[in-house]
Amino acid sequence: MNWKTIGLVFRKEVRDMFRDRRVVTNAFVLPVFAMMMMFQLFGLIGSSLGGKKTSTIHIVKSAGYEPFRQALKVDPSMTIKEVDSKDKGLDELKAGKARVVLVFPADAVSEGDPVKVDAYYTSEETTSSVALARVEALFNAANKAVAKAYLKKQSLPESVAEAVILKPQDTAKAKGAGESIIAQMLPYILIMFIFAGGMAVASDLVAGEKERGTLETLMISPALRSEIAIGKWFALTLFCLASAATSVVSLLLGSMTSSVAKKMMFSGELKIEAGPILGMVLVVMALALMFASVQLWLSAIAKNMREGATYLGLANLVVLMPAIFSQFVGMTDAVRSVWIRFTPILNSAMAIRDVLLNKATLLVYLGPIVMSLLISVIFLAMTLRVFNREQVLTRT
Amino acid sequence: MITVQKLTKHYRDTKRGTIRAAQDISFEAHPGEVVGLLGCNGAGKTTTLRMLSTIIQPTSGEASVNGFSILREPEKVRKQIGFLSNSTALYGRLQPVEMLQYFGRLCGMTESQLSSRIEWVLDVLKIRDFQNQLCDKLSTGQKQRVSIARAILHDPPVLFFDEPTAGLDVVTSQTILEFIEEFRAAGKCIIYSTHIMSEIERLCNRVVIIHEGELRATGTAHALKEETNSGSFEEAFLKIVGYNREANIA
Repeated sequence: MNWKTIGLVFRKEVRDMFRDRRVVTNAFVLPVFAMMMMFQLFGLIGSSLGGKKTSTIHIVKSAGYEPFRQALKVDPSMTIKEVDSKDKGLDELKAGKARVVLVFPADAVSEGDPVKVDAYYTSEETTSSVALARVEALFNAANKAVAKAYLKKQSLPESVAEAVILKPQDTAKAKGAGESIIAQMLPYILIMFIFAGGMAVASDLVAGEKERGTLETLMISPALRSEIAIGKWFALTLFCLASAATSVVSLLLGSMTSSVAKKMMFSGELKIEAGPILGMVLVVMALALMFASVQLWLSAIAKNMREGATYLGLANLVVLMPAIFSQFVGMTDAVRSVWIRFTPILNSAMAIRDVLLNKATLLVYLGPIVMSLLISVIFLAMTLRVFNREQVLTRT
Repeated sequence: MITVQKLTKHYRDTKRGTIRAAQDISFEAHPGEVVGLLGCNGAGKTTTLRMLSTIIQPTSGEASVNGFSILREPEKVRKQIGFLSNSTALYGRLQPVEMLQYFGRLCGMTESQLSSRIEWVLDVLKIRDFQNQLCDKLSTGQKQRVSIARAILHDPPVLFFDEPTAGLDVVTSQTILEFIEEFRAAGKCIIYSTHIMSEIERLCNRVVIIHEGELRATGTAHALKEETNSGSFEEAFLKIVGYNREANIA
């Protein structure tokens, strides 16, 4: 094995790839554009959720129950409108003009009996459910205030109304980091872009060269076929890593374009030290080597570029599944399961997440690195086997 | 220089069964000699050249190129040869000079050897005018000249040409044939595959006729004409491959 020859093939492939406008557009320009668009969308969603928007609550006109009516009216997150009848209120609810319609009982209620207020909403609309939850919270607070007033009148301590008070105490190292969207999104984005970056060129590297006839030209040279394959593998890995770097830079730049998006992305205190960052870089590099070896093998077994693109598309689906799951696994009990640490791709995603949450240990990095490298070696060996057979050229 | 002994290549096809692309092909070629491989389309010429250049492995048989076995020393064989065929294309996003530098380095040439040799091929093959254009932008004739430059750059003692004039105009074809005559004069051992009779008669010292994967005849064009009692080399070729006009029309 001659490393000089491998270096020659690597440099030529990198130069060739960066001269391909289609590849540069797919691997670098489009991701930046997509990320900017995503953040603008985040900004829009964020401002609609946390801005001045209020829930419109309709109350059917009736007498009495002033403490509750007042509590509703002073809440800034609600706009209260009175309607003449229940039917009119329901029509407004159906038309989407009201989120909740409250109907207080028309007849007087005996002292000591609870007042039953009908709250009409529609579970098909998230905004309606959110408004109902706000009304419920408000009614609970109002109930508590009524109870306290009653206890005071009876010269009893107000604390009887709240026998037990729950006081949450956060023990996280980086407080609030768990809420930060970046801890959920970055692993997914990195995995997606590492694979997508390689996908843009992998099909061209072997299947494309076979189709155009340049592979035969290359194989007539005195270079060993394994040297050619390894040179291409390194070039493909570099492209995967370049795409990952683009995704991180795009993420940071994109988050700067909208203050709401920035707040959503980095809501927690992200304090990451140099050691974990290095560990994360190693996890990403091992992942890039693994993806590159799988993609190179798929390109080598394909008859032509079209077939190669089909194989890579299917492989992309397989990669996306654990990547998507990694976004939600933190919300489940599976997050601490051992099988996650032995599931390729998912274990890398979890290691990146743990770095962002500042709770990664050496074992957290080692698992995905060793597994990714092992899979890389297996697929590279399979690729070399294909390269050393004449079918790499003759199977068309 | 080149010794071919019973070189055979069989392919397995799920629909057509075993395909005998080449069967027991044997011949020799010497320095300063052009040996023509002549045959119809699909006769087995390209398969034979691909086996000799170690791109594909023979099913059986053996061959040596400049003393190196194609089975045991394929890398050494590839250092001895320059190969040009329709299927050896150029990298479209590289310039001719970049292409030559890449292949020169792959052949193990030193930087000083490479630069002087590149200067030489740029002049001899008249590539200078388009040396800085991307290969994708070149005409068919210009591409073929760059391909020849790539094949001869490392000054190999053996050259394989597989239908090098296919698809080229008369003037460009003429230029290429003149180059091959010059290479022969320089003492190169050349295997020239074609199905154009005039090229065979003009260039080749000896002819190897292959038909349906089998060796049908070897000798000089003149000797083959005499052996078959033919007025032209084309007629001799048709007799050797068993062409039957009536059967063909039927």
